[in-house]
Amino acid sequence: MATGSPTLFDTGGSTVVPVGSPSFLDTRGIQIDPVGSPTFYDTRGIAIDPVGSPTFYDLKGTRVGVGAFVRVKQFDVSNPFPSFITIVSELPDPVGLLGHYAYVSDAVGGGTLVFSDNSKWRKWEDRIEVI
Amino acid sequence: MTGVRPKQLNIDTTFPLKVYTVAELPAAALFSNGAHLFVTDEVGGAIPAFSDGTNWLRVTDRAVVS
Repeated sequence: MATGSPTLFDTGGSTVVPVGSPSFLDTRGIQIDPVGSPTFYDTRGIAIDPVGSPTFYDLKGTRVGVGAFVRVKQFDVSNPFPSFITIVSELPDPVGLLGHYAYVSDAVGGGTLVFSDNSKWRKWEDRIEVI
Repeated sequence: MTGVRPKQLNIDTTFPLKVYTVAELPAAALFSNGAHLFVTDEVGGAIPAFSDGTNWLRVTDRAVVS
């Protein structure tokens, strides 16, 4: 498998737990390269509990590994993190997208990151509305 | 630089940052350098901010969020 690719094997099903987090059932194995990232095999189920801690169940349904992370859980980003790329005229309505961001390739001054303040799309570098 | 284009997430829409007020910000030291979020009530207005491992800094000028 390609390095950096999360891979699920023999996943028997999936569902959504009450808090809306993903859950994978009857997952035979999960491997995330490269070395140093977690590898789980023969995992009966995985859920994300209401406080955000991953919960792992073994084949007998026994909970293991609850809250095993010391640091705040975050993405394992092994490459520069990509942005959604668009042009100014195709940016969606910023209303309702507070805190969303994108990369616009044709802003005055050149391509740049922009964020929604729930009213306008503003450039990261100076908060000026992108045009 | 040459080589095969590395795999990356396919993001096909605007991407949300976790939204906080200044008072709600978690300790920046809990997060790796470069972690970023969105602050709604920063003194200069709503803005993305990032962790340098110690503080949350504004993307505009690297001043500590306040």
